[in-house]
Amino acid sequence: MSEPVPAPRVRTALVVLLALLLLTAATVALAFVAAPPELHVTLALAIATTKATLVVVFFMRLADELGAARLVTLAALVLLATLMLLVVVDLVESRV
Amino acid sequence: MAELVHEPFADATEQREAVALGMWSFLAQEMLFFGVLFVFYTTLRVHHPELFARFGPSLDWRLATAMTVTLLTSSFTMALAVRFAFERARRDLLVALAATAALGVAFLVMKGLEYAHHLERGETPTIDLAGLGPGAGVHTFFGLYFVLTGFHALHVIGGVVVLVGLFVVAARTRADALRPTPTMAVGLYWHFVDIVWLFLFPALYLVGRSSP
Repeated sequence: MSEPVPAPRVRTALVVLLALLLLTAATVALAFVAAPPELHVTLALAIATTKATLVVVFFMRLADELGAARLVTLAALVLLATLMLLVVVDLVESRV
Repeated sequence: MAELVHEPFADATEQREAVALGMWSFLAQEMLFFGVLFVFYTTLRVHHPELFARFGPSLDWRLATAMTVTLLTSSFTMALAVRFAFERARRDLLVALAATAALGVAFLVMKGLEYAHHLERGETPTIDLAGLGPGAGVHTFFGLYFVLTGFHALHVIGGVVVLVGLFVVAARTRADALRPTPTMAVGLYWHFVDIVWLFLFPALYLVGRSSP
């Protein structure tokens, strides 16, 4: 009986690492481009989220785990997003 | 040889899935722990963007980029360690675990150099939210910086200690008696700590770089 291996093949892992390094180079380069702060925040957050997703999908293999594990992660994400959203709305309102 | 199966699990796969579920649950609460720290960050950034424009550029983005590359590479070697553990490739596993721990130590050394530099310049970790005045902002900004990077660094230290433990156990175990599940659990934790850094890096080190 062979167990399922919850880790990427060496070649896949290498490709993912290269993608992560390229995205790091991109986020560093973009930080020096003149642009409004809102655009900087959006781009930096988008690239960081893409990198995090690559790690979760290919290195942590969340998709292969039990539905319960995915549900727990989703619940944490929803709670975190709710917290962040309410705080940001409150901050923007109180700044005026 | 298959992994030793404990009660109440039917087989090694079911046991591994239970460990993974436990680890993902732990990481879910870790996400919320760091989430609160990012709320602290967001609050300060919205209320006092001038602190980030003024003190953000005093952080060393080159060193931080090197730290990012180090952690990303360590996630790569960790993913390989998990694969080698399940393949019972003992020698490869030992190399991958040692590489991951060494990269973790390299990250911590760079972090230590960075901290020493800021402490020498009086950029101390004082949380001074009440006393924001001209010149006082340095303690508020570096309070945030030290709290965020400090909690992350503590997680890296914990990871390195466990990695060394895994290495010692694997070194003392015959290939056919290796238990891969602990390596998988540590791997999930290590990747999570890497992910936290992926957000800290642009949030702290790349702020305020585009203005002259």
